[in-house]
Amino acid sequence: MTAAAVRPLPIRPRPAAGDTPATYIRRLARANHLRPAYLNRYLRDDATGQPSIDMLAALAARPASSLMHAFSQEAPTRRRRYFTGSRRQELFEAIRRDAGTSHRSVRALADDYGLHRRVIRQALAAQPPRPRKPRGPSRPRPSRLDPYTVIIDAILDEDLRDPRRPARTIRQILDHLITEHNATGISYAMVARYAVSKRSLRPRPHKPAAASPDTAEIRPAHQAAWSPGHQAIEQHDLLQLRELLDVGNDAEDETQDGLTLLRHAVHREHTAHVEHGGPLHVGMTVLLLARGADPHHLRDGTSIETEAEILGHWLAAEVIRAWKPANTEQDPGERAGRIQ
Amino acid sequence: MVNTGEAVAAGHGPAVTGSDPHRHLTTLEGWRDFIHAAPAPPALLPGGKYAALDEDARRAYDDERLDYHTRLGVVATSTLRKVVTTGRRLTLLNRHAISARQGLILSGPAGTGKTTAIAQFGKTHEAIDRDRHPGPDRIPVIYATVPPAATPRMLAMEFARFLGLPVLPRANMTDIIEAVCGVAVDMRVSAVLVDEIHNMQLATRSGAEVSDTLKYFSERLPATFVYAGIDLEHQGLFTGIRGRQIAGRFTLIPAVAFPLAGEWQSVILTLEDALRLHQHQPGTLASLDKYLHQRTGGMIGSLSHLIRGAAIEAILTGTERITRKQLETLDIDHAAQQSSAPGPAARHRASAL
Repeated sequence: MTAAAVRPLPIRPRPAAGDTPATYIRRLARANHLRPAYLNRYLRDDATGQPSIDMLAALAARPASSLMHAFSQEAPTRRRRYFTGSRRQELFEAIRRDAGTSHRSVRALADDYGLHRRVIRQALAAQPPRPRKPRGPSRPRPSRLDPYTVIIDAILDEDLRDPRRPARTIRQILDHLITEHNATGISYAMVARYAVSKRSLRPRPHKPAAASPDTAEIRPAHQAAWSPGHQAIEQHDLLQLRELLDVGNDAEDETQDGLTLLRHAVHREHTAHVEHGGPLHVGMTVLLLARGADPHHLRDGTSIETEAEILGHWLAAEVIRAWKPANTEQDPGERAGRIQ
Repeated sequence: MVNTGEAVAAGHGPAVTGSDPHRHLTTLEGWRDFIHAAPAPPALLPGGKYAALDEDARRAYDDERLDYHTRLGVVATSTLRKVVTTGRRLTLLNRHAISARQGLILSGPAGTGKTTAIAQFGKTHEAIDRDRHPGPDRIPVIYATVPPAATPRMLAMEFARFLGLPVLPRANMTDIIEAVCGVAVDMRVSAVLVDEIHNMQLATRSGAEVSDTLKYFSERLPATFVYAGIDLEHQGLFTGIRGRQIAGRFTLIPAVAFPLAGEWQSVILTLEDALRLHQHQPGTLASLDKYLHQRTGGMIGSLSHLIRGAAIEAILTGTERITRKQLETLDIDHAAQQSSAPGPAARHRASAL
């Protein structure tokens, strides 16, 4: 192909001072949406292997002399753009955006931004700050209670399904877990938090009118349904206890394993104090004594007073100790009978 | 002969233009020549002055007139006006269309002035665009013809050739189309004229592909597409899936031969007025309207060809007038001769040969 047969390109940017044939061909090609390599091949002079200046001039519709003039000029000293800090970050982001959307080459981007290709490569290589890790669904921390939640669920479920049965207390559940399932490392608070959260989702069973005797037999002793009196004590409900005693509940109500109301009350008051860290109460013990509960009752040879001392319920121990003499004088016969 | 150049320099204008092989409507340079060509009729020298011209000056003067008569301007026929106004309306309508732009199809027999009409529309459109946006950095109109037995690649090359984009033999079609679309969008192309669309046969595979390529161009370019071709509605351009889509997007304007009625006379009168012959009697051609209609079959292309040929003949022979006798010696295109009754024309043609 000769220069005479070459028609001018539709879009013809001027040659700029400092252009070389290669850069000018590149700009011409880009302006006309051609690939520079394509135009290079078109212009290549087979004799020299170099782009033909005559053909280039014809493509640009300019005299070859003006092209040669431009090519011989020194490039004007161009102040390189140099940004630091956040402006540099913004620039880099813009370059990355352009590169991402237009799929332009490093060279094309360098031309566009008036930057060195090295800077463009830096921009493309620089990682944008990683986006914040999305928060996944929060998972509960593992707990030592985990293996037993199924059992607790079962107990709670059982309570719920049988309205006649009084709901078991946290303590009972805890005891059950410790004794029956050899649970270690769990505390009342752990069981309570779990059970309460479960219970709050379901209606609490009403207090049963009375525990049926037959139910007691089919359950293990420690799980035996409390009588209403014991129930009131377990719930640390002084008013309920008084009500029960008022309507004629026996103050000497004793479970199968020899736990009297008084002994139970001492235990319960002490646990309440230990568990909640509150002041040591002695209300139920006093009430029961006042209603005629026997302070001398022995279980496995241990008196209630002793048991209170052992537990550390010093207040109850003192009350019982103070109570004993008076009571003994009032009712010696009964006491003698009991001993027998 | 040496002095001819001096005579030209003396002010009679170039006798011959178009020495450049690229000057066709289908190149940007040729199209721009066409746009800027204002065929101003050369002033007829008074009889005395004409006789007083020396040999070289007269040859230059005659050359200029010959040049003028080879073109003889454009007659504003009703079809041409309709194409220009409909085309303009569509370009306005399409200005803000995002896709599915409406187009225009001009269909009719050969010689009914289709190419003239769409070129005139392109010229009008480009003139309006240049008024609004003066400056060299716009190409408002692309004119391309569908080459015979076209493939999509050939069509894309036609577009590239119009724009002046170099096409290497090994260039792949995607590159060509990308360059064409990129340049066309950059240069604000707003009307694309595709002539000889009958070369695109939808029934053939390559024809269907050409149609798809045109469709792709019409999606890529925010431009109004105007097609022209011969008897398109009978060639299956509107049948099939592609045809139905074309039918749904394009307004069809039929180009028909003139009946021997009012407009025919006015066309002849316009052409006769444009003649610059020294001895011609105005009204001669107008009185020959029936004969001319018979010769040309009402085809404006044939009519123009006939009259221009007669005018050049008149200048070359020095008779400086057009008569029926002279017209009968002239051959015109085959189609028109087929349609004209075998009569004097055939006889005279035989004698001319």
